[in-house]
Amino acid sequence: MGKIYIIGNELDNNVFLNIDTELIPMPEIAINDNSVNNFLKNKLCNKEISKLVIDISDPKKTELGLLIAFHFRLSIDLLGENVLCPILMISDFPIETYLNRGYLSQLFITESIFFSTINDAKLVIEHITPLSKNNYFTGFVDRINILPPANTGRHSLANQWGAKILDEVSVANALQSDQSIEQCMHTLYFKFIRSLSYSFNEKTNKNTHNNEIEFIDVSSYNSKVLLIDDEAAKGWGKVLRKIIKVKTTDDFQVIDETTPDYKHLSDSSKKIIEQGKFDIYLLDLRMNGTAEEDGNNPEAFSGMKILKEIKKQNPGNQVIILTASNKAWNLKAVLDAGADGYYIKESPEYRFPTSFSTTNFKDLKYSIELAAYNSYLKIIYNRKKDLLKTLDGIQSIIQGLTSRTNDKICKQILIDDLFSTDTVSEIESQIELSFNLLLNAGKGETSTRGNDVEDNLYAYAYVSTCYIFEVINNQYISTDKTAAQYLARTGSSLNDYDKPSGKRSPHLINDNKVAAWIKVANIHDQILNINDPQFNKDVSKLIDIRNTFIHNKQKINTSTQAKQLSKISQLKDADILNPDGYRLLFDFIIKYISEFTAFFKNKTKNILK
Amino acid sequence: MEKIYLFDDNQDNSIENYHATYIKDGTYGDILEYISKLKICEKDGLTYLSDAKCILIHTSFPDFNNDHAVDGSSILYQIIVGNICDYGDKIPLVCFSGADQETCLVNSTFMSQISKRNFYKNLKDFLNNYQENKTINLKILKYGKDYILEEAKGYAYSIFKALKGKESDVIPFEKANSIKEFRLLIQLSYNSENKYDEIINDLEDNPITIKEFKDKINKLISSFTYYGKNIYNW
Repeated sequence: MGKIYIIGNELDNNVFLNIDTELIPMPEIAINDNSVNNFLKNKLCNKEISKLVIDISDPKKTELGLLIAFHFRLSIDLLGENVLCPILMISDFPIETYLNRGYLSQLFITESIFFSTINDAKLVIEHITPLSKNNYFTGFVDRINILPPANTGRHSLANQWGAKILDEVSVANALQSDQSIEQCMHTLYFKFIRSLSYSFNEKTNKNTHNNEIEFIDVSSYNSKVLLIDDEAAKGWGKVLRKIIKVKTTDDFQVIDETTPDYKHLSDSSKKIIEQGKFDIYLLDLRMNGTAEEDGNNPEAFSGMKILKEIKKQNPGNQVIILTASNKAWNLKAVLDAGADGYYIKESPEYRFPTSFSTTNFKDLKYSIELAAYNSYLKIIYNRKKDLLKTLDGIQSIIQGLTSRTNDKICKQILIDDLFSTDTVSEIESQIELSFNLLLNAGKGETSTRGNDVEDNLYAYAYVSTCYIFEVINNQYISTDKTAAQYLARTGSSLNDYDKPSGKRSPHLINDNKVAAWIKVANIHDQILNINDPQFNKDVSKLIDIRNTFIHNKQKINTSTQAKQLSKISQLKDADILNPDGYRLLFDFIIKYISEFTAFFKNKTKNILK
Repeated sequence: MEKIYLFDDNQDNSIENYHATYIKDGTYGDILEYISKLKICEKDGLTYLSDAKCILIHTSFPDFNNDHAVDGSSILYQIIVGNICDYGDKIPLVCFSGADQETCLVNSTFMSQISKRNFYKNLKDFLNNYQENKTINLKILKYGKDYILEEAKGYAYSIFKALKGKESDVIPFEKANSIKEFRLLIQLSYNSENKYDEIINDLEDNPITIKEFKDKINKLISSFTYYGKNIYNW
């Protein structure tokens, strides 16, 4: 059984003579949400309240009294079920004088709000009844509408709200000591929005369902995360820093500035991005403050322009768009522009249910962890660039020799030793093709992730890269009249190699059915003059994997164990279907072509200076 | 028509946030001049303000040097408030501020403080009143368009507070006569110099209870609520 609390003046004690009441003097505070919230916290928190009386006679205190009543009803987090208790407004003046108070007057059309003259108050107080839990919504919340505070922009409000919701759903509690966010949550507007999804009966509220922080762990990939958000200081920086688990503090950094596009970012920010040391970019779609609040064209958004630039610098950069927009065409546009995922910053305007917040967070976690998994694409792209540069170098050597076709030695080198122009072009196009397949494989649409479609994309990228071995083999190995294969350069037969050890066997092959890896081993051994059993073992394994896919075509289980593998010899057939398998192959190809480059340079060092 | 001058540097976008963009879009172009910045070099050229009908100024209105506010410098603010307006004695003056503070209407021509929130909430009604009636009424900035009701309630509240005793007690006419807010309320309600004396005389001749007295006052308040003016006899 709670107590009757009266917020008013000393004279009100006389009104309720012989009734157990406690007087709380009407406070001398500024009429704003924060002051009222603090007043309630100090005076009525942790009390058992049966009824609340507010004296609004004093015209100077009328607005404050009504605001207190509103806050009282909406402060569920602060006052718990006390918010249901009946509120009696008392005054010397008739009720009609309080019906011109704008949104505050809505109070009088809600249930369990009573009005009485001061003289009748003692009689009335006996008969007033509280709201039931069900009536809280139909009798109160549904009957009012609270607008956002006028002194804060929509963009800013949405960010504060969104950051707070993420903080709660992830149980990060990173914003508990953030005064600015807490003040925001104390506004009547935010309390009203929270009340819409509150349930008195179930413990499903955003901040009560779980006690353990749910991390988004990218540390095992060594991923570095860059948050680019003009509203990072509105809480996003703190929350994301706390929930995204990186290896060192420096692995999570923030660019927090307003800009209409990439080129208007500060030089220091551009430098941070262009150094390319970050793997995952969390990028706000609207970086230009209020100037973009009413924009409709997704292509014109500052974040879209920055996304395109980051992807241009390296298509393997993983970019997740943070946006307060839930418009399908905006989300489609960012995905079409290459974004690797998006997170809808919750806005108070959307009034999402709690279940959405939970799913939304799970999606963010999935997107970021997938981005970490795919961050190898950035490395592959850089290596691809280096490889193409190497191939350009080979083209230059070819051109240098071609210009001297009168020179017999040059001509002979061109024919016997060097890649043909066609070979170089074919390698280049295979590299481009396989990288594009890989990019698509890494997109990881929820609907295709882990199924045949995605596995096949990895496999196609792999097979496509393996084709480079065949291109080189075709350049150096010919078939004679008896259909036996031989090295075109020397005319000599092909050596056989022992697969388990990779060692050259004493036998020659007089057959037209020669395994691709044997051809590679022969070229490596006899053209490049490198006798390396480990190389032979590795190439046999890599090409076996390719054959498994090409010839068996059976469904192969995706193995995450491959992430821990560092040696090709440890690869299992299934490991073709993940980035690590591909990366090992790609590194192998790079090494192989680099050996050719060294060989070509050595051959021509005295001719081309 | 003489113009009202509004000085607000608007660095916190309050004009947009309080939905007061009518200030900028010319809706009140015939009566309102909005100035967002004044350069320090213009300090000798402010004589045009002596023709102002009223000046509304942000208390933190800074001096500008080219396009930049000069940190901590408010020479022009001092000149406008002190010299040009003489704190409302020469030109009606309203000083508004971002802080949440109680409105202080010093007299009918000087409002020394009002929060931006209240200022922008009531500015449109204030401008409409000037446009229609050609008078400056600072009470509208303080209370809004129902300023008469609020003023009447203020008086009535003071009267009720001064009344002690049971509702059934008769109110001595001397007591009623001693409450200065009663005179002010009657003046506001009847706009007549003699009405107050009539009522006091009547109270002397025909005593009434405190309850009856309060009911009569609430009848006036109701009339202000419904009609914006008093339509009832005492």
